[in-house]
Amino acid sequence: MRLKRYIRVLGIFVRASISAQLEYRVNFAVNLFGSLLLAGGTLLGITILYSDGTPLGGWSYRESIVVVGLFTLVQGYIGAFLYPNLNKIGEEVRQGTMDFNLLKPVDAQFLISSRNINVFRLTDALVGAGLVIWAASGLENASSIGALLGLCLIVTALTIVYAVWFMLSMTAFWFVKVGNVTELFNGFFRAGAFPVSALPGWVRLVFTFLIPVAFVTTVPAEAIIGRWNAGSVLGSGVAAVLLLGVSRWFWTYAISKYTSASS
Amino acid sequence: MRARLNKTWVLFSVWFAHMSAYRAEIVIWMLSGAIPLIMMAVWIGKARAAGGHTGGFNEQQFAAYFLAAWITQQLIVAWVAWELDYQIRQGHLSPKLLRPLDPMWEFFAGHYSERLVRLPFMLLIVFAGLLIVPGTRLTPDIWHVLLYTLSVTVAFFTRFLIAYCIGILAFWFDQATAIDDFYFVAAAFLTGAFAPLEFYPPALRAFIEWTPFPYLVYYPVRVLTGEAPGPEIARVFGVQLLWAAGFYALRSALWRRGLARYGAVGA
Amino acid sequence: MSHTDHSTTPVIQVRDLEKVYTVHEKEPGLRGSLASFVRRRKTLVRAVDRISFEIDAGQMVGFLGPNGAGKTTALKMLAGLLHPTDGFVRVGGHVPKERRTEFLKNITLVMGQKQQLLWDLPALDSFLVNQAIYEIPNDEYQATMREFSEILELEGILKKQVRKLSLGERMKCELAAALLHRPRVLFLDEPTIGLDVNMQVRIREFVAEYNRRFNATVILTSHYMADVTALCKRIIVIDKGHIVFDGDLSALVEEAAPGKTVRLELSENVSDERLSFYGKLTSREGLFADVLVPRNETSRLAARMLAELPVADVTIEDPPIEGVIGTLFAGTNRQAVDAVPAGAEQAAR
Repeated sequence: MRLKRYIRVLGIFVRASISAQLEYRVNFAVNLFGSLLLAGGTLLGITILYSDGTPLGGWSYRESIVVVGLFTLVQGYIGAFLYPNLNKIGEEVRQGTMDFNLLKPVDAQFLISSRNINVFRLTDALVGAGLVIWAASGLENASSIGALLGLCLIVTALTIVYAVWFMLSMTAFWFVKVGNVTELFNGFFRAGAFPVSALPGWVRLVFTFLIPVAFVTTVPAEAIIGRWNAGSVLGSGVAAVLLLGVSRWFWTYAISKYTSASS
Repeated sequence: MRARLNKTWVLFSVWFAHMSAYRAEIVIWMLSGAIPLIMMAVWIGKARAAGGHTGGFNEQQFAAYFLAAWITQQLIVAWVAWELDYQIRQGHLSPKLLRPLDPMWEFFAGHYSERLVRLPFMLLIVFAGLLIVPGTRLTPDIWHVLLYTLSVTVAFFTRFLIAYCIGILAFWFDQATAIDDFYFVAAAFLTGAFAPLEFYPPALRAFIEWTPFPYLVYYPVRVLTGEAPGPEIARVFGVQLLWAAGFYALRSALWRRGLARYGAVGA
Repeated sequence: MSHTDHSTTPVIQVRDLEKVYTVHEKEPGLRGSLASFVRRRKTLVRAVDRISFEIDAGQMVGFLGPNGAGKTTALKMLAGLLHPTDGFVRVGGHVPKERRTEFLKNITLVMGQKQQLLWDLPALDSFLVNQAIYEIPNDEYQATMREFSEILELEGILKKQVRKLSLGERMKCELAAALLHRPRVLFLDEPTIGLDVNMQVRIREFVAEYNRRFNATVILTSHYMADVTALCKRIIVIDKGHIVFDGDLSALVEEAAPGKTVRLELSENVSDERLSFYGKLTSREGLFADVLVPRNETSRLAARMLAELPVADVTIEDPPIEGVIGTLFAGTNRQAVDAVPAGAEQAAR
């Protein structure tokens, strides 16, 4: 019953978002162009990295393109779902309008995470998915089981990204002046455009455990190209559940400390 | 003349005070522009896998190149497209237009003084980078630093003007910031922040040479790291000044036309 | 009004000034959105539709009109922010849209909430920026600051971060910053919006004082009728982009409300019919009654009421100005154009 209500609310948000954005019709063309540019640029980068004919961190050119595809897909997910919602938290805390979210009879974390959807940024996700499918279709070791597992790992990856992004934007409850913390994620996530094994020694460890970029693109890509190992699959699941749990705890903690703006 | 000097001084000192209030945010922006640092790691990884060097670069040379590229990228950052877009659409440009001073100079003072806020943190990162890759030498001598300072100043002004031209487009339509995003993506791959241009396919490199992009990062980096011989430095300065002048003229033309449209987009 | 004085040209000259916008229209709902995504309907809006007037140096003029009437658009064209679609404008002999330095140094535009002050710094820093930009000599700057601090009571708030100031304090600083270069022409767009009554009065007094001291020309728009009645003798009423009235405030009251209200307190009950004999009975509650009578017969009829009715007390009042303006906009505005008094007609030429 509860789930049904949430799905209905979500549906209303989606419709309203589409309706609002169709007002800006140039957006569609602009975003599609942007997606192609991003994917093209990242592909160009990979091409340059492979120009001397040696593999990158043990990955072939085609295999790397699966990573590029996933990278673009996640960018689209961030642009369409996370950015338009979570980056408003700071502003709402400052203006005191956060109060309205807390007063509604729907889970407030759900509410502030799902109100707006930037439909046009889904072009990134489409281009990314296209790249993954195209690159994987030419690989011998790609299988339907791998693809299925990859799909599951994409879901855990998106969960991880959501949890990290959510926690970063939650800092707005304390640091009113730092409105751009989520840009930190954007900066480091650039490393997700390459297989994590391309990075030297300890940098690889940083991007696996400290900043879980490896779980977002490399691990699902490994499954898709048929090279997964139980350790990282399990790690991805654990990381997702753990981070989601921590983000939930962080949220309850943040609102318990929340003093609404008085002005 | 004295009035002009005074104007410049007051603008810069007040804007420096303003920017200092945002130092935490500025540090985050600095960290978010991490592409050269990430690419440094990737290319060093590649050099190691290839047995020490690839394409004529060894670990230390990659480190020097990308540290210099990172500094350069930090010094030419411009967000004026976003600021202009916002102010045009919200009508906040109006108070600035009432003053007998082109608003560009205030934006410029803001950007320029922000570099000073960046500086201490930048030196910290560079120092850390030099420690992490032992044996790295960023620049041969002080002369190269001075020449680089000139070169990167022109590069900054060019990037600022490009962003300004893009921001002015907000007079006509409400997607100006998206165009700045395009610029950002293009710049990430064409300025040399991603890889030294030596690694680009020859045809692509020939094309890039005809754009302003390599003169924003790649060539200033070559000046700083001492890779560029004297004649090349002279040529780089010439081309840089040409690009800056070109975008200056373009922004003046766009500005005049844009003002006639002001207010038509809400405000 | 001294419109007959031809020896000096008016500071502000406006002839057939026009501003036309294009706007998109959309039906509500997702279907409407999809329809407008495919095909966009455009309509032209005449925000300002061929208005003409002149204002002499030192005059204070009130722009009145409902929201969206075109007041702000007109003001922004006078300040050079918006380029007119058509028509003739001169302010102090300059074409505003050219935004020449001499022009900008002579005018200012204050817009209610739009701030020119730097948010994270003390207001004093913004003042220093303005001093430099307007090239105000140090001694003049000091003198102006002293005067402004005194009249506006800026003492103690200039060194506080602007973000920490109250709305009223911020508005005082805005005003001081906008007038630091001692402009001769002031465009004030809702300068008192959102302020409490005390602060409104203070700002009003400041503007009046500034006008006296520098013989500055002032155009003021405001939602608060008190601002306008306190400062401006001349009123220009704009509605739907047209000037529907231009003239003395008193003439406006006379034109739009040709009657006065005789407010009676009776000592014993009198029938409504008997009261209606003298004029229009506008309200009646027990022994209290309001009778609206023609303006030029007010004293005669009031005297008759006193003599013929059991009156305990009587007062004679002008109808409130808000009500007058209200009736002007309520459908009768086209006739009001014909009823523009002679003086205003001259001004409109």
